[in-house]
Amino acid sequence: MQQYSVRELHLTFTQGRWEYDKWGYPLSSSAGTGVELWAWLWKNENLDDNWKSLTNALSGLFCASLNFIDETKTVQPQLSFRPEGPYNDTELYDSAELRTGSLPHENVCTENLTPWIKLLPCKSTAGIASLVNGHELYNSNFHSMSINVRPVCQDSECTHQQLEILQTLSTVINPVRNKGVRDWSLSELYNRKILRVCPLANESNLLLIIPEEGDFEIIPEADQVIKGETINQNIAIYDLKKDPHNLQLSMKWNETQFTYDNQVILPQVFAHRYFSGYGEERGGIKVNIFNKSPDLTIPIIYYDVIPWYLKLYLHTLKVRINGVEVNSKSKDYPIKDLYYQPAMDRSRPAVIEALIHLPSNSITTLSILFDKVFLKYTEHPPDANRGFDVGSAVITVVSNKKDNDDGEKTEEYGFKIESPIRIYTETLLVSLPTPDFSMPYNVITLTCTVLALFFGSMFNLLTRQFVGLLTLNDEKINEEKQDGNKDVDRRNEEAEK
Amino acid sequence: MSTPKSASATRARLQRRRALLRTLKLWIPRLRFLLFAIGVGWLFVLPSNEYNKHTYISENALLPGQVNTYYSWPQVHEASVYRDNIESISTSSIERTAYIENELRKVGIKTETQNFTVNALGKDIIILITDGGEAGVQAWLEAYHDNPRSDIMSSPLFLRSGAIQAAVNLDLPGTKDYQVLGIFYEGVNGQLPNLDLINTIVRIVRISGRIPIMLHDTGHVYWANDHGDYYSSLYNLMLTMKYQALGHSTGSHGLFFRYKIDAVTLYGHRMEASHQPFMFLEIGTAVESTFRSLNNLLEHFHQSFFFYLLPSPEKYISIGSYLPPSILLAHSQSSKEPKIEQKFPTPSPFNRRPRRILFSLTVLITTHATGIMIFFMIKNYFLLNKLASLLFIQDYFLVLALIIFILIKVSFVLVSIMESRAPTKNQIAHRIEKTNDTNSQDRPQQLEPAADWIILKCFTLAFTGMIISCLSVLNFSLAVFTALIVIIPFSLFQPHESKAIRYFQLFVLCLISPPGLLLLSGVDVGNFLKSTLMEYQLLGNYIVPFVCCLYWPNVLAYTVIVQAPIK
Repeated sequence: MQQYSVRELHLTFTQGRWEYDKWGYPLSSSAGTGVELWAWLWKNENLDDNWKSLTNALSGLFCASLNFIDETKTVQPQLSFRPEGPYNDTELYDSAELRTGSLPHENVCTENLTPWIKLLPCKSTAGIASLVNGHELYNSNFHSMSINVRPVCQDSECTHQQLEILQTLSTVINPVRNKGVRDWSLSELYNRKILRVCPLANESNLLLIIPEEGDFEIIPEADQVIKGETINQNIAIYDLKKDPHNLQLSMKWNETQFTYDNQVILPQVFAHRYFSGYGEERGGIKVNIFNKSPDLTIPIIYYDVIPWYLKLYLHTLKVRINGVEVNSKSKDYPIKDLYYQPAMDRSRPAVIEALIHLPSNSITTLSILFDKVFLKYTEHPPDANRGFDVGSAVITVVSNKKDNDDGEKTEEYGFKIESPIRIYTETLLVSLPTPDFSMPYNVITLTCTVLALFFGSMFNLLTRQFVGLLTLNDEKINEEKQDGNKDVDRRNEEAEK
Repeated sequence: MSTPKSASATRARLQRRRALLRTLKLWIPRLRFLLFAIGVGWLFVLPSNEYNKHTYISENALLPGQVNTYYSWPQVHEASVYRDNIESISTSSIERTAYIENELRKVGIKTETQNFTVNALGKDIIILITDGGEAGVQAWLEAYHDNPRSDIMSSPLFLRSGAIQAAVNLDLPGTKDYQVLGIFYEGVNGQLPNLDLINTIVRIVRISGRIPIMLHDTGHVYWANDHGDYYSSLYNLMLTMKYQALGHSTGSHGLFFRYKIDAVTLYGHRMEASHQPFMFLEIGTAVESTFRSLNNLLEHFHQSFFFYLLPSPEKYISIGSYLPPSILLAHSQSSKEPKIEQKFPTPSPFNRRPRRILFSLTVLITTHATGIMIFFMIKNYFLLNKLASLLFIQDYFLVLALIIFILIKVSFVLVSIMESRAPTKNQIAHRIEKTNDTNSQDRPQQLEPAADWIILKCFTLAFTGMIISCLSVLNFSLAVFTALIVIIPFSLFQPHESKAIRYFQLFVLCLISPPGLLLLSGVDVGNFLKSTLMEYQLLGNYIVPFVCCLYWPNVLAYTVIVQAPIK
């Protein structure tokens, strides 16, 4: 951190897609599929070098392709990704700059997990971390691991600051998929057991969010049950330090077959992004942003990075609310602030950042059209027919009340992170015009043949010595010609008759 | 390098060359019949077992049939329960939809587009249940790609997944057992899915053992390592070529190709109880195994062939093998050109008969403009039908009458213009006199211009040859059929002295014109027009524009040619 003058750093590895309209919001910060890195760096003359070095260092540390975050993928967002540590607006912009980059195609696997585990005080030998089992983790519907490094205040005046490392790991495991019922136990889910608590830990708690009512049983009983954030929810707290029995946690439902609820409770804001159109020439990107709140207008920041090989046309940016197009001059126009960075071929991506006020209970649709670039054939990856990934768009829900700069938030049992809610859309796969890679060979052979023929005949003509052939036989040839003409004339005459 | 001493040798060589050219000129007109004969013969060699190759899986990632399947009797039981429930529900489509949606939600599948995630690393599977056949699929596809292009009005779609890799359309009519699994693969405009997809399914069905396969609904049933006899292969090819030539999709799968999604239809056939029946278990296992294979795919289908013909499920003819005959056929036409030239003397390169190109081009442009006009009339067929019903005339009668009127009018006008341009008897006599008089060698001979019909025929033939060659790459079957129909009349017909022969030629041209072909094939013209137009408007089938704007104008140009004056 010091070497590359980093103020704050956030690195997330994600595999799978968080389904907002099925699972609600994630409890800890997660990101779009692949790897996402964003950092605030102290301003100095070699800030860009520092960023490059940082990505390379992290790449080595986490065995990931982070070094591929080059200038074609690096973005400086103007509205999104504010620092999560304490900061003061004017001071921040004078002294630090933000850099972000993401690799949507990056596969996350055990080689990334091991360095992550190594950062823990007891590694995976004790405490909750001993549940981390690569086999089960990568067989889940979704998993995301992140490292967040940020400064925190030591005292109330914030004169002394300290760096805090927060490591989170989220997975979504569905016991119904294998068993048909909701019963689970820790050892069954992770195929591991917690044998002891990490002695270095000050606290080691397990929290269960459970429904207020239901025909179920949790073994053992919770130490403490408190009211959850939303209605019909309780949080059961297990202190692992206090009671070793808590290490074998399981839950049983009195049911033989689980059927899903017909009514899905949707989160307030979520979004889906997709490509419109077909063919290899042009297309469009559309995003549906849902606001399910019955009475609140919710301001959000929409942030989307489009690679340079999709040439966006800003004039085609259209906004529809519930399917009705809104004119940009109308006062209902939901985009209040728009920051757009046009792409430059082979050097930087296009960036759209917009402050949008989502009307209550509405679907806001943004759409923009693009042309697909015909890439040079060396620019295609080895798996050319797979297509190119376009990273997630990020929707940041702007909280209405201004954050205090004290950094002193009520921390409820460690998992509540005071970052704003960030919603990640799907990553997209775009297929660009792909050459048939056996074709260059055919073209080369064919072209060479044609060239050889051309060259051969030209060479022949140029080097040949032309000699007149009008010799004694000239007369004869002329006579022949005449005869031929007469023959034909005779034939024509016959045809006339 | 030639030196004076080898002058005689050079002369001998030149003379040899001239002799060779002469023989070639003499032979080319005969050669074209040879080309035609070879082309047609070659077509009939295609289905023979010795000529075509065994199919193979080109994409290594597919690994068909090498994954464990979990579909078993409990799932079969569930499936039968669902089936019975659906059967017991009234035929109302809304109630059925509600039931299916409810049941899918119960097992945790997001409905609307019925999106179902298998696991984090894999791919999404979309279950699409449609009503109204191909229109339903088209509506969904248009909504999915947010690209409304046909006249289908559909509600917006909110559940989506990413880019679709492949689709398998299950068409299992009724609720009883099936004996044979039919594979349909031709799409709109003769597009085909990647051969790997078909190979994967065939391989998986073979491994599962008990299901015999049929291509389409031909009745020729294939078991493992069975390639059938020549006639069944020929029949399969003919059927495929028929579907391709008409641009007709043999199932809902055909609509996916435009969106770069490879797709096939699996159809459960019920035949005489000669085979052991199969049911949910076998179908379910095969489908699961297919999807597990597709899940292995890392890239879009691209390894195997997109242009092929299947004489039997495990044999294929690649484009390299079937393209030559159609090119031969196309060239047997364009090689007609030199013959026309050869018939008239060309004493020296500086002394050619003037050729009046502009007029012939105008004729061709006029016939094509007529074709486009006809196309727009047929396009507005339904509108004109309404008009017809106001006038108490039969459905398509008005359209037909209008088209025939236009055709006769155009050809009549063109022929009369040609007649007025042709030299009169006196002029010809005068010219002959003049040619005989001028015996001087020193200045180039002034020859009479070539008759208009010769130039027109040259252009029409060259144009037809070009259309066929281009088409053979896009839609091989259509090219072959066009060539077979057109070549003989086009190469033989020309204005003739005898009135009877002229009328005979005209009659044949009427027969090979689109209405004539329709009458010959014996289909219900009204229904055929209606369905083809529906396909054009909903699915973008290009057979109607092709016939109207490219095929018909050339036939029309020929009707002008055969009626033109000889000189």
